[in-house]
Amino acid sequence: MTRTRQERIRLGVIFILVILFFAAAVARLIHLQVYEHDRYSSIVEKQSSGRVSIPAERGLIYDRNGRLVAKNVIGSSLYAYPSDDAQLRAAGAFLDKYLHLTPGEAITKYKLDVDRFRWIKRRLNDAEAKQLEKMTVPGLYLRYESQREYPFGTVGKQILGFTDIDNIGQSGFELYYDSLLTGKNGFADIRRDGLNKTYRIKEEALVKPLAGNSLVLTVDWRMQDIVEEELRKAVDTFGAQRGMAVFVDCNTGDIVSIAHYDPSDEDREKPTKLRALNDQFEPGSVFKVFTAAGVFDAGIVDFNRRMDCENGAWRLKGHTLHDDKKHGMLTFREIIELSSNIGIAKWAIEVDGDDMFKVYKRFGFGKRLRCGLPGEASGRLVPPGKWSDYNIAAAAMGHSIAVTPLQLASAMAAVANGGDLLRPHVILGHVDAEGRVRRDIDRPVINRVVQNASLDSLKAFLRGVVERGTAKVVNSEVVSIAGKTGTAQLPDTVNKVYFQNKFVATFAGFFPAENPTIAGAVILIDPQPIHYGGLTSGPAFRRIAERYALVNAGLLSFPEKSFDEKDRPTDSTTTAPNLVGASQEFAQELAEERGVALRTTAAEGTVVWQYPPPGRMVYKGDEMLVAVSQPGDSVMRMPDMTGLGLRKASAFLNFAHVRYAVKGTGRVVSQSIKPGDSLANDSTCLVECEQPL
Amino acid sequence: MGRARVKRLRARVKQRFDEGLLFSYLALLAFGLVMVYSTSSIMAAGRFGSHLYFIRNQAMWAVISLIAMYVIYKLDLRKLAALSVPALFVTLIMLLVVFAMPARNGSHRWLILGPVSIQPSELFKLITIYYLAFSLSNPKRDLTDIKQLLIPYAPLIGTGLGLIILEPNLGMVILITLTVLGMFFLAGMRLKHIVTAAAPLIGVASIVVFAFGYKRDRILSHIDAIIDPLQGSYHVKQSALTLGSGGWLGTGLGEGRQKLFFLPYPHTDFVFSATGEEIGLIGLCVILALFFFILYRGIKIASSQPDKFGFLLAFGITWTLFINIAVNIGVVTVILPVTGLPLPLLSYGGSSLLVSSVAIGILLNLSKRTVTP
Repeated sequence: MTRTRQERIRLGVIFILVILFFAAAVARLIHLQVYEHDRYSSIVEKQSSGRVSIPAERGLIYDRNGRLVAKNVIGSSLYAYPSDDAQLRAAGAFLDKYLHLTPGEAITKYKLDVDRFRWIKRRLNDAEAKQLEKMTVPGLYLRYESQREYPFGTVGKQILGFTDIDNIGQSGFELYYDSLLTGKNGFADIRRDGLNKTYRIKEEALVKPLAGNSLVLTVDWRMQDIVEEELRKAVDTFGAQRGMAVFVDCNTGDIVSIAHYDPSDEDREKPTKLRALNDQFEPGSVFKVFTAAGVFDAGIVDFNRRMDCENGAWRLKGHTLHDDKKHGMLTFREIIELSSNIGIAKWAIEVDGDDMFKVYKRFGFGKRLRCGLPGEASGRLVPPGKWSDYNIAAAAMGHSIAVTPLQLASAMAAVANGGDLLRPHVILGHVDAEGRVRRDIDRPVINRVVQNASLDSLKAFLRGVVERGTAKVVNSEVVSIAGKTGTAQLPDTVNKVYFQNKFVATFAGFFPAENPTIAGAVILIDPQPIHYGGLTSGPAFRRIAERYALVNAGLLSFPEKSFDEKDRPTDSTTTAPNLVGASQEFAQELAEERGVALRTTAAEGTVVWQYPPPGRMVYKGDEMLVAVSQPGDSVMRMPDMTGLGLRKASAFLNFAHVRYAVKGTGRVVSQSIKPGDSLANDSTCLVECEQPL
Repeated sequence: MGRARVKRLRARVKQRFDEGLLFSYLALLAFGLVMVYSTSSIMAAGRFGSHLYFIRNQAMWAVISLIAMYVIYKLDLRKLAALSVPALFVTLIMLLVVFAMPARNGSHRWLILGPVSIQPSELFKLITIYYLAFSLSNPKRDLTDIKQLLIPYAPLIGTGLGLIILEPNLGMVILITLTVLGMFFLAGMRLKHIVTAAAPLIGVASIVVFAFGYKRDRILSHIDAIIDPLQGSYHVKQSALTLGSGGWLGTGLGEGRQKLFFLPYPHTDFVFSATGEEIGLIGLCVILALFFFILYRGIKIASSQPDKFGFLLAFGITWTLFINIAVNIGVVTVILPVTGLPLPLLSYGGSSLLVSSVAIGILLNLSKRTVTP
């Protein structure tokens, strides 16, 4: 025995302790590794795996001819994600220098911090991206994102709208069809570590993103470009506040083009409105088309019957109806062609108010057409219960109601196609998985607009309007146009009256007249100084129709000259010549050449200012006001303004820095500063105006 | 002495070392290298630019450790035992010098000599065992006398423990204290003295913890963590999850997910958990069996020593290995509160590996001359 008894006992105790420990350890391991295995490993799985979203490609947008009008491009964005203080400082220092900030500013400006993700700049331009790609700054990274691009720039942008930095639709088509275009994001499972670093993508658990639907619009971008350009020209030429135009395929309801132009719009890249369906206005005479349709539908038309047009003024229920020109006895056709308010009112009163209301409703007025673009207005159509004869007369000539340009174009399309009101729409179809275009919509008829009559006679009347009537300047040698003009006073919403000198000028029609394809409307708000629809919107409509027909040769039609040479439309308008810089004498010659008169501030000298400005459409025989600076006389002299329109007079007074006060409206009858008096900068002129009878 | 008796004695005295012990040691050493690589390579690549950074160090230390073990194995430990007294003073000085060294992770544990850094506390642990075996086996020493126990051991070892507390390295203090108490116990100290020494210590500790609230919350929350490890601190929770994730068979070598910066110190203090995730319960049982076998052989070698010196030395070595293993595994399996002790032979760390190897070398040395009872 080398060990004592005590030693053996104590060693035995120790050995038992060792055995107990190992037993305890194994028991604990069984508890943790077997009993808790499922729970623990699911927690480990969760904390060590993650999911990254794989963005779906936004659907593309095509025009009706397959032009790509909205596409996606890969762009780079710069972000900061420093993982420690050194990276934070390096990133901050680089950004200070790169963005020309004061030292240390970048960190506070972008709230940079360790392990925090911060965008520095989204959608870098190509030069920036290329420059940054070459550099490696710790903590700064580039992310590649899909970004929207519009190959045609601002053309049709009003329809398309725009997307925000995260590719979410913000206006127009992009907003309205966002859910269709967006698609469904896919995702990938990733392994990550405790420091949130991504290791690898688990291939088996990848859900592919579902690309958004690619949609085909009914809009023809070629036409859209033409319409936008002509509308812009018309607004500029006729001095209008803004203009709107809608063209639809009158056989399908496809919106071929829809546009507005407002010179005061600032951001054409990010339009938020589509005024041609957001705005409503009082249509005026153009509405007689639908009144006439109602008269036809009532079955009371006698083509030979002549209605007394009361020589231009007719008292009805305490109101006086006026015609623009004095007419005597006119047939129904002549009433439309010459646009007699009194004539159409008398016909409408012969039909019942309720029946007229029903016809207007069937033409789609007074409610939204639900064309599939955001912000459509419903217009205004007062229910017939309240209608008196005067109300019937007012509505018949397009007063007291409001329509949108889209409603007007759609109703005109219904006339053109023989009586079907079609729901206007912008989506032609979508591109299916095989890349074929599927037409989703086909001639969606809302209702018949007339039940008892054909509209052939009405269409012939509308052709007559262009051939012989109020819209002779619209007559084209290239394509036959039919339509109707309209000129209505703009309401002064502040004083609840109509402006005496502000108008809405409209032309709505269709072409080719014999076999209509396209119907549309052009509306100019407050054109100056010429405000007749036939002379402002009409020519714009004609130019659009002509250019579109030239693009689509099938639409070309060379109308036979069915009228005598003496009836040939004589152009009563011209454009204001540029007189500034010319001598008074030479200016006089230039003006005579154009057929306009001059009113000058002095008998000789050099022209320094003119109104209307060069290029603006004016009537032949109208007067232009020019300011002439006399040699040896440094001050401006007061012209005789008697008989001038207020706009012309105030334009001059503004130019001469003369303060002025106006009494009354209409034309100038007196002025407090005598003609020929010199104008000092602080002079004040009282101008009295009266409305001419 | 007759020839026959000498022959009989020779037959009883084993001349060969314990091969089973050496085999277990080598198996654990080799497996430790595998696990150090598995758990450290990604971190090493990220932090030091080479996935081999830690394993290269550890392999170098393994070679040094094998050489040291062989040297120890060859020495005559009995003749050299008297040197343990000056060696103890040298290590005490080293424990002082660490405070002049730069701190790592907030503590002064390392003596940094160029590229090599060693922990004097590990050395102190080993020298203390050697010294106690030498001193307590002196037949003149009466261990039943409390005075002879307090002088000279209390000041000598107390100084060392005090310095280690100041480093601070509480885990090592606990390890050395328990080792010393174990050796006193085996050397024949009276139970009465152990109890009378331990009772006031436990009493004071209880008052400090519960009356003054020092670390009371930590202790109470640890009790919650024992019942549900997920309620524990981040370290504790991740360690339990790592083991649980392994299941019966583990995720496979190298396939552990928790070592990717979820489990802290997967290559040092928590290497046992990281191993458990990759090789599962079955694998861990093999590891535990190897450890158990080493401890079993250690006790066996101790009990068959021809003298008290060998008995105390072999026991002290075995006992300190056991405490070390038990504390580490107790911590990572969420039985004991977290104390920073590495797992012998498996954890990354040169000092730990070297000291453990020297310990095994001592056991192998002593196994050369055992007497079968």
